[in-house]
Amino acid sequence: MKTKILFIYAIFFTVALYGNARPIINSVPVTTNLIFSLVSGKTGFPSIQFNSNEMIYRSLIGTSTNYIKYLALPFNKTFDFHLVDDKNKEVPKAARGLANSEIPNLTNHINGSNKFKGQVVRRDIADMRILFRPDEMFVITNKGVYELDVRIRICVPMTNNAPDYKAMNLRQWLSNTHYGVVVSNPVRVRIIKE
Amino acid sequence: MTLHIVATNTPEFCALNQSVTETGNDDCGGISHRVSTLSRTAETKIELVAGGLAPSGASRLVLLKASADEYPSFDVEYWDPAPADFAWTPFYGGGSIPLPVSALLINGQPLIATATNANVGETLIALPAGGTQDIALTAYPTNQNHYSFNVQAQDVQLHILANGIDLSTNTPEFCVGQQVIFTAQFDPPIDYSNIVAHWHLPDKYVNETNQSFLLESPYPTVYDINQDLLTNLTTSCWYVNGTGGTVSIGMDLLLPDGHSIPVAAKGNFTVYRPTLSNFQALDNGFTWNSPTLQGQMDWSTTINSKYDGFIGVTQLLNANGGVYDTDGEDFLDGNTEIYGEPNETNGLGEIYVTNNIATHTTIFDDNPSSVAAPCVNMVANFKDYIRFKPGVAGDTNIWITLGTNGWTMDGQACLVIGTSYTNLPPASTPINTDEFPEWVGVRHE
Repeated sequence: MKTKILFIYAIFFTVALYGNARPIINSVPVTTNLIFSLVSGKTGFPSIQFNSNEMIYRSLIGTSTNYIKYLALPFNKTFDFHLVDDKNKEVPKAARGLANSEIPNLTNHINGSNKFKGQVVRRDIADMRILFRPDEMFVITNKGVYELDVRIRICVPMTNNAPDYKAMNLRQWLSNTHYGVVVSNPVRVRIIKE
Repeated sequence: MTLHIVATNTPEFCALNQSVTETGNDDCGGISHRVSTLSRTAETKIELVAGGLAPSGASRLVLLKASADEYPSFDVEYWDPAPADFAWTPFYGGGSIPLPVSALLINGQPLIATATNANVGETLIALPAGGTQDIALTAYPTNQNHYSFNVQAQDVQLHILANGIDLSTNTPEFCVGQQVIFTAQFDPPIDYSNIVAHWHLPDKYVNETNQSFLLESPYPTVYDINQDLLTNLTTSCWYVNGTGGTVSIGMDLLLPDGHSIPVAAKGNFTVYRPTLSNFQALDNGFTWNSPTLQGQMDWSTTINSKYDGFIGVTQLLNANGGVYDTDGEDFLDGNTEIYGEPNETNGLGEIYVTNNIATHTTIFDDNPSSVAAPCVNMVANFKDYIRFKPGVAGDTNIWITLGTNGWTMDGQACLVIGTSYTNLPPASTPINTDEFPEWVGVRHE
């Protein structure tokens, strides 16, 4: 069963449509050992299209059987998200969207990492949580097809200003002293406003 | 047992007397002229037979709709031929002048006019199942004492609906934590003035939430059973444990005409409770990186559920002394009820999707730490509530505890000498419990 699930994930991770200038892609790496996806609550798997009033979930899952630990930032500082219409014009954010668009301190040397909570995943254990409904975050006035870009920010151990993948596991974690924020590439999905 | 009326078109049986009196017989222009007066009296009753097993003790609720029509005087005071002699007497048809509902009584009780016809009245009676009862009908006509009755009896069913599902024909399953709304519904709908009802629900459920007052949020939600909420036609609850069973409602139905009738109904449903499995203590221990003493606790467990929902852990800490001192009281550990939830506005934890096995296991991670100045003492007991909330964001379902486990830490270190002792054993295996977490304070991050 696990093999089957992983196979399905592998299919979803590679979904990227290049019909437009901007590729539609529902899964991107955050680090080499972590994958970020936007997930449909209906299927529980990554999707490339959502309705504007549909709850979108976000997923982080590992790429190996090792436990991979990272620190989650507060929700209002975790995501960089934008919505554009079919003319590539950015849709303004609603009050809730603005409130959840804070930019964290991107320094690579964050001490006191215990302010953030650790999350642990593996290739077969995802960290899947609520993201948002587009209608709650944007002022979408017209029917049509939109494109949503979302990047995720997480906090990881750093060595020489680069993520220390060896340090992102349970055994090594307590010896870490330097942490920094890494930002994923954008996932890009279609949003349908009906 | 299904109850139904075996005879809805009840036979009229009358203590009927009929006679003809000759009051004239003379010759009128060579034609014999005779005046006949018909006398007909009837004590009108209907016999109602209720279905069901007689010894069951169950009652049948029957809606009686009745009307009466008076015969015109012409039909009564007529010329030859006399009805006693010929079959086409006008009495064989019904009356043609409707009597008002106020002129009718059934078993001595006045009738209530129906919404669609002011000349048709209705009332409810209760019959023992399997029993036979005579229903006495009375009318007070305005012109003379000849009228016909029309009576219809209709079985009134009291159904229990659970989240809109009729329990008389279904046995639905509900997940613990899912709000279940029970509704008692009459079919056909009936008029009543008041109802004194009492629901009986199988264990184990809660039906009331209260927010404890604390100086700082998040506040614990206290769940209990409020008996007063079990006295309406609709009641709701959340199951926390058990397998379900029989839900019943008994009520005294006070009708608009002033009399009351006892009524009852019941139905069955089942309760589903997710389980925990595959608990693993992943990591534990202290590390001293002067000047910081840091603990580590990691464990994982798999939730097995037939229903989608959310997984979360609520962690309480209790300490006497040290940097985590709670004076021996239970404190919520963290800024949110669901530990480690980065989104403090919804606090819904991790999503559980039945068809994605990667969402079925949760990993708990905690790294308590403190800086020595010049020494630090980290001692505390932690209790973790492994919880599941079925459904979707924004619904009325609640978090249910599937199990609890615990872990302790006891470590001390000083800048000069380093660690004196460090003890942080693995977390215990979860035990199955439905206990809700409660706390008297919050230890924010």
